[in-house]
Amino acid sequence: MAENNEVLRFDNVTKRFGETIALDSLSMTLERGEVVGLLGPNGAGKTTALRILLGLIKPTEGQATVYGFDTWLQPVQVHQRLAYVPSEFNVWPNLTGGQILDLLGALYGGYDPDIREQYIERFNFDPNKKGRTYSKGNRQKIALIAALMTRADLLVMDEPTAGLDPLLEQEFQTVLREAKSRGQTILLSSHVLSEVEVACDRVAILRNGRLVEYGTLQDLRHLSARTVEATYRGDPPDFADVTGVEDVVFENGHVRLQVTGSTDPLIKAMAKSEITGIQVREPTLEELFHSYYGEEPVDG
Amino acid sequence: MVTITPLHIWFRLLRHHLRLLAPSSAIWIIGLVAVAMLVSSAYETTMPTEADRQALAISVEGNPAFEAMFGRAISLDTIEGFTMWRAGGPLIPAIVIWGVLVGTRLGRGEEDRGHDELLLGGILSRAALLLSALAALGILAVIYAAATTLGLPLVSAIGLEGSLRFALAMAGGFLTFTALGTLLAQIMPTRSAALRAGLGVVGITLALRMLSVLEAAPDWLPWLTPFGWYAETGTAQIGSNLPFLLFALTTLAFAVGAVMLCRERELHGSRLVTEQESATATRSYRSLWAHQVRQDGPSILGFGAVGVLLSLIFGMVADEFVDFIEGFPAFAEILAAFGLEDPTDPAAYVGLIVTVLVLIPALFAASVVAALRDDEATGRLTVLLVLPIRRVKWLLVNAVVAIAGITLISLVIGFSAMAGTGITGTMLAPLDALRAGLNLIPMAVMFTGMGILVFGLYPPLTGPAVYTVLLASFIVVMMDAFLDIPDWIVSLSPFDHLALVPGEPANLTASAAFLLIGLGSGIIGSIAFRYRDLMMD
Ligand SMILES: Nc1ncnc2c1ncn2[C@@H]1O[C@H](COP(=O)(O)OP(=O)(O)OP(=O)(O)O)[C@@H](O)[C@H]1O
Ligand SMILES: [Mg+2]
Repeated sequence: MAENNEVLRFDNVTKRFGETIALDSLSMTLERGEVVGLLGPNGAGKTTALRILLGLIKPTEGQATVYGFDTWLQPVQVHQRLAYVPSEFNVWPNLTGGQILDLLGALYGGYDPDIREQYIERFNFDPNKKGRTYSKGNRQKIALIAALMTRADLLVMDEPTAGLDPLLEQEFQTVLREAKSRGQTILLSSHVLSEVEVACDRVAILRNGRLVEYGTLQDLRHLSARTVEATYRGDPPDFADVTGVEDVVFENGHVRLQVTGSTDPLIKAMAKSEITGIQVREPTLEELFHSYYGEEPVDG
Repeated sequence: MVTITPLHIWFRLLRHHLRLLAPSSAIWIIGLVAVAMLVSSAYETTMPTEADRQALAISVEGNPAFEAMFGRAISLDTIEGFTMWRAGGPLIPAIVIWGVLVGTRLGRGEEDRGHDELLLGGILSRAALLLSALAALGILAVIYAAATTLGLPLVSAIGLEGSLRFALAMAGGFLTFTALGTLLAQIMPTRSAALRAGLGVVGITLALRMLSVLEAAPDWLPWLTPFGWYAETGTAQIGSNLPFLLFALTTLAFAVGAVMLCRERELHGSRLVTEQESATATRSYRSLWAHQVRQDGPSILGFGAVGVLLSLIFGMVADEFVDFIEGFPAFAEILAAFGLEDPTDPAAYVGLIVTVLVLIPALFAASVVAALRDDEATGRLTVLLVLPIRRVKWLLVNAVVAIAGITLISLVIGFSAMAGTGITGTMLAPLDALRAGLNLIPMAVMFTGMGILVFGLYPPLTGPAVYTVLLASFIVVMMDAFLDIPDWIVSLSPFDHLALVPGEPANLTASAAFLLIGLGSGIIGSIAFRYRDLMMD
């Protein structure tokens, strides 16, 4: 597999916890240097997917690989090339932040102390306190610094900015861009849509354990409905039977509708009337996710 | 429509706390009550005549060797006194250990695992949470006391008043150490630190109980510890009611202290750590080995210190014991029930004592395997296992450090007993001390392996299973000296197969079996752990 750029692959991965199907035949791949956001409502299976990738839990069916290594059978080879930021980072209460970073760095197999210092400064972190005295945000910083300072080829992060203040979230965006420009591959789960919008090349949306969408934001936008508003004079245009048009609302000389897919049939239908103004609006990210998250009732 | 008041929520919380404790508490209460019932029912059968009872009273009361083991004996010629001493003697340490376990669990354990943050997100304050925990623990004490009070008269000639007195004295000890557990949970940085500190207090107070039976001990010494208070309650005829007041006041003081401290403390914080203190820790440990030694080191030192203290004291009473026996040759028979063939041999006595002290390295082993689960449940293990570290290697490092700790603690116990005998009389030979210490290692190693087995197969049970098996098998053997427990049950207990080294030759077959069982279950547990999901709480 040396010749291709594939970094990780889920191959029909299903994970069941008793009756619960946490992950349902997930298949997806990441290429080298990509930044991919994993989105989905609570309980969608994001953490489960990431834990399978780390070899912490075993896929019920299917296989996950990282750089060609099976994550369940060859976890050590996998771990030599990735760093992980868990969503909840619990530390040793009797070690200082600095000692924890030293330990994790040494056990990873080494790191550059200058890089460590640099991140400590950028994240405004005090490494001299005991683990038990750190707040949630500060514990999250340890996890981030530990992952970033290793310069691992692949970064896997589960809600990495949960608990960080807005300034640090900003800093995190910068850090992500730098990592990307260094060629690191990044898979991160998040509930912060703006974060994903700025940082990610592609997004994957999970719901009820199923991958419901995987593509660039442009693709997703294209696939979902856009809002069209137009003003007209004379007879209202006729949108019955026009492909992709829905939710048409007329209101004294003004029409609002949703269009999915190609706009060509819509334009042709409009051309039959006298249109005095037209505005097409792409869905906001929130609208986009609303349509993906809320499409069908969540079962179980 | 039902309005939900904070009081409603508090009661729901109380139910939640009770539900958390229910499974393990049921086992503890049934065990404690059953053992007391067994012992108390055996009184009539093992000592049918008045003369038998007198003989027992004369032989045991004031005998430092017996009293060092089970505390001061009062009125052994009555069923009440017999139950207090013979049942309560070994059960009171057990029930206070249970108290420390549940006290630290509710006082801190839930918080360490992050559950309390959910609860505290609601309307209730941290003090309300702790009060609910204390109330739940109080309810446990009431259930235990009621079961004991009603249970004993069913199977023995003890009256309701006598069994109530016994039950209250036991419950008093339980509550005192439960409240101490919740207090330590506010002071110490983590639940396991609080648990270890609590077990340390149990060990030290046990040592004081033993010291107080020495002839040279001052009269006020028994009043210094809850174990002393327990013994002083005695019977309604000969005994004091003051201890009940002391139990109540101490419990109250600890509980109030815990509530006051918890209000000032940050979540996950500790009273012990100040910013200045923390800034000085700079040394880093860059290998898994060094890291594990650092994690287990304080606990090895703590268990070792308790071992030194107890075996020193036991060693010091050896000569007193031998003198006593030589004056009353008739007791050799009773002692034979403990497995002591030649009671006038100090080495035999040391063997008996050191064999009881095997509990210390074994409890240490249990605490280490319980910590494995704690690391997993809190997610600290995740952080290590996403590094290029094999799961089995992590377990192996833990097991090796645990075995090193067991070895150290065991040897230190052997040599302290030697030092103790040297202080007051004839010193045990160094080689004998070495043999006594070495003899303790295999059993603790076995508990380590069995703990790893449970950890591999069903992690949530790791701590409870190991502690329960350990204490249950100890109690069975302790009881067997006076009761006719069926042989096959007794032989299930590893303690039954432990030779009283140096008084008798080592049971090499048993030691080899312990090591093999430990190794075998450790290996199976490791494989199971390698191929199971990591489970956080
Ligand atoms: N150890 C487990 N045992 C049983 N069920 C589990 C376990 N872990 C996860 N689940 C279930 O699997 C499903 C997916 O959970 P997962 O944690 O992957 O969701 P998530 O997308 O990360 O959610 P969130 O956004 O809340 O973090 C949920 O229904 C969850 O209850
Ligand atoms: Mg999650």
